[in-house]
Amino acid sequence: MRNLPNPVGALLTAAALTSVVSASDLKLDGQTSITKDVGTTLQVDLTGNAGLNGWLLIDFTAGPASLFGESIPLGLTPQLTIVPMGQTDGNGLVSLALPLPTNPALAGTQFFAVGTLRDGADPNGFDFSNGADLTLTAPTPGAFQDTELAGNSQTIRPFFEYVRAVNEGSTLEVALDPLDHPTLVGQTVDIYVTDSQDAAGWDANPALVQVAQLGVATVTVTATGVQNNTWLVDTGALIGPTGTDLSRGYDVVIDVDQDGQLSAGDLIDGYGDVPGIHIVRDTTLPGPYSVIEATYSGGTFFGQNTFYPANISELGQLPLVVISHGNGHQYTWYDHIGNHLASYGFVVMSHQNNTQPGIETASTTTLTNTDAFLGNLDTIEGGVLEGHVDGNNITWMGHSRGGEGVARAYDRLFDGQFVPSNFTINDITLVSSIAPTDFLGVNSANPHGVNYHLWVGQADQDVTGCASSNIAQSFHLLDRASNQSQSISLMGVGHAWFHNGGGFAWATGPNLIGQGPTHAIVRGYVLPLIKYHMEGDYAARDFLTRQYESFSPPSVLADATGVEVDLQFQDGVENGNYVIDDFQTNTTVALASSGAVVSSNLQAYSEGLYDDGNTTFTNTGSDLFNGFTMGSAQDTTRGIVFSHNASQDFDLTFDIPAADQDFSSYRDLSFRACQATRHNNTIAQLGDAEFFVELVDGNGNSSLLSVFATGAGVVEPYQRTSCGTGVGWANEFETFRLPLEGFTVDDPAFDLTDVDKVVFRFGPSFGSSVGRYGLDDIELTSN
Amino acid sequence: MKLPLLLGAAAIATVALISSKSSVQGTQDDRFDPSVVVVNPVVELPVELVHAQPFELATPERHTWRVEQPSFDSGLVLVLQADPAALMPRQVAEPVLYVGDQTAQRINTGQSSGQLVVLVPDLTLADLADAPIFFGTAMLPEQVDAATIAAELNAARSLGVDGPGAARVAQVTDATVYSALDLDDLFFQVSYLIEEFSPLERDLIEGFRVTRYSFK
Repeated sequence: MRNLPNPVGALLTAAALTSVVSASDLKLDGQTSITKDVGTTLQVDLTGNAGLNGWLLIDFTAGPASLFGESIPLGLTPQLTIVPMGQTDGNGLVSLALPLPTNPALAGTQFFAVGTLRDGADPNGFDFSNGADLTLTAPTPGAFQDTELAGNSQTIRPFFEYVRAVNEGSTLEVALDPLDHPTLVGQTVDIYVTDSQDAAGWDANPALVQVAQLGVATVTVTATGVQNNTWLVDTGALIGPTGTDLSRGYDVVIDVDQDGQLSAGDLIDGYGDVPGIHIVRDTTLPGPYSVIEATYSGGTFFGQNTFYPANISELGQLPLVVISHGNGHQYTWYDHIGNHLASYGFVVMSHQNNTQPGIETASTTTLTNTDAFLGNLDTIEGGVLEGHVDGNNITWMGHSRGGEGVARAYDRLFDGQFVPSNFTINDITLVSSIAPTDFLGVNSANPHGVNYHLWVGQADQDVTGCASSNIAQSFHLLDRASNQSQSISLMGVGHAWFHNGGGFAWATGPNLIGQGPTHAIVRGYVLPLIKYHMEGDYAARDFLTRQYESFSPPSVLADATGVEVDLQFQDGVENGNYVIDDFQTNTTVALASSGAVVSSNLQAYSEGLYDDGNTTFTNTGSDLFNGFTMGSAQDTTRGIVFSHNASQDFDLTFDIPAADQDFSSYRDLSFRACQATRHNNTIAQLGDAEFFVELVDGNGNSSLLSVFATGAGVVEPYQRTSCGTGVGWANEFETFRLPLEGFTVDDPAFDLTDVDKVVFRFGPSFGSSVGRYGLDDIELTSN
Repeated sequence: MKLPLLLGAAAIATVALISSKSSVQGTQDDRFDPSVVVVNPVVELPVELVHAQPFELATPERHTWRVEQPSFDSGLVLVLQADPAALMPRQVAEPVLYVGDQTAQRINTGQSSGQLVVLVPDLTLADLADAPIFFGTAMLPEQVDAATIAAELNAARSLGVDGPGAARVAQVTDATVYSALDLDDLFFQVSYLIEEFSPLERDLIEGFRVTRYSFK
């Protein structure tokens, strides 16, 4: 039997390892008397006059007893311990997140506490608070500390990337920050990777069964940072998914008491319904189902090319993906998508698209073919699809004019201009446009609030993206999407390589990768895209949100040497994000959308419409928004652009409003950034650019992370010529997500509950010495 | 043989027209603006008539290649020869093809052969002789209305573009009438004409020759 630690000592050890607080009114989790499980965290709030030093007094008995001539509700026993709590803020408040001991043997122990402030106005010099008490309880089943543990080590701060997904065959590591788990320092623990269970499964069956290749890892937690508390647990032997699953889930447990059970005080990544880590398949490879392809016509512009699993009669209702081709393309040119998705249990129907008259007619054929397909399932292929197509879960995917057409089709449903018989607007789960045109503009080529996705080839010679043509600027549609949206941009990819017909590639520029590698990227991305939106696949999100350099299907890079893929991803409003500044409201430079005060010493700084100011990408110096093609003059998408040279360091600072300074409930700080094409500063250091983001808390503590902590820097524009003089194509936005917990790594004093400033730092001390950037959609994300 | 060869002056006039559009902040807007009157629409691109054949439809269809989308149940299928490079399908605006006072519906692309198979609603062989065949301003056909057609046709005539003439029509006409259920059925039949004149368009041809279901 192990020696039980002194309970007060354990409590105070936990307190001492955490930055501290103060009191004339004391609350524990907002109450004066509370019971709390061991291994959880206690919120201590002490209020009094502002600017006073405070202490927390903790004892085993309630007293009362006399101290400095005043009766206080503590026993003042020999075990009395006094914890310095720092200074009250301007509102007279000091707060502390106090980690409680993890040992279940302490259940039933009661502690009594009083706060005091050193107050010269008080007769005895101390302002004592009310008493408060805490009773430790044994954790109820399931009350383990569910925390992130699995991922990949990094060479730069925060030194570890906690992730949802790891490719099958890749290594898996586990890490913890000892500053988040001070009671574990010095302890020897066992690490398990287990088959995933949900909470009910763990409660019923807490036995830990190791499945990782390297067996049970017995390690000792040190106090010396994340890097020294990172352990390799598998070198790629974890079994991947079966069937049509994208991933196989595992949970990771740190067995603190080494009893081989998930028990009180242990740490688990994946206690709830979502596994701690997903081992994902190579998404470029076909799924398990044989696919039947049927080509038929139901009448004028009802030619359809449909793909479905050969065993569809054994399956339930499958989501429907409708593909609307582009001008001069054929409805039979999307086998690479149809076969791939059908092999994973989707029904894919590609139809004749009336693109030559224009976008309205194309949208009509998208609408009528979807409607006719759903209305004729008893006829098509002898009725084999009848009862096996989920008409309430539809993705529209369109190419070029058809890519605009699917957005217009959604707009027509939105405006009530087309009323289908066999589906409604609510049945459209996702609209995905491949290199779309923008003939119709903001009022009609508009995906509104539907989940929207955009594909762009930066070498596209048809829908070029050049500043000379609004029709040829695909990104307009992305920035019109008013809710959840994302994009994938492929450098070295031409217009025609997105289909599998032959003919002219419509590709120009350096490092052209060809149709085969393009299709590998398409297959590898479209599967998680569709699974994320149509099946709610949690692991699929990593394919959409992480830097492609950091996470992509293993066969893609082997297949497409030198490929550069850039991703944007913005959560929908229902996700509960906090927008610091999207530049859409409070449009003066000094005020953010959130009300944050903005200050900066950056150069050539401007906030405005993301629309190139003339018809070329030539760097004239006078066009501050050169290279931006996210909107036309009729659009409203806005952001900032700025430069810095090497003469000094520069910053862009957002003073967060007082009511919004608690960042602790969010997961990431997200923003999108790009380099400005053909600008001298971009050319001077051609390549991935680096800058830093600093958070400053209310106590003046600061914490820095580089954008490279996401796996890559801000990509340089595709090095393509024409569209004016110079080299470099349109500004290429990417979304960066810096984990907020990463700002606390090795930084015990930093307080995520009280973030006063968000500072973007540039210049010689912060990565690239010179640069010119666009920056937009700065927000805290919850997912 | 008389080709409707249009003059470079027209193209210059078109450029002048574009530059007269109201300027906008940011990227120049090249999208369709119905408030801008097209006055000199014709571009320089010769077209030659090489085949003509009438068709009839049992089920009337809408001509979606113009704003009014009139209903039709007869017309002509034509094969036109033009520079293949100019027939390369684009996603951005393409020159609209006119036959007389009607927009033509392109059935194939002609990019590999220079042989473009089109459908012209309500046109007769008799009328074809005097119907100028020409490419107009690059725009979406669905945005072309009767006024635009009239302006384009007048401009073409003023530049000396005439119809192919009775002799040429007689020379290239196959009077056998395509009798089709609807456009889908017509395209099935015309696929053999495409195969004759533009045989490399295999995917298009095969896409017209698929099993026909009776959709509700």
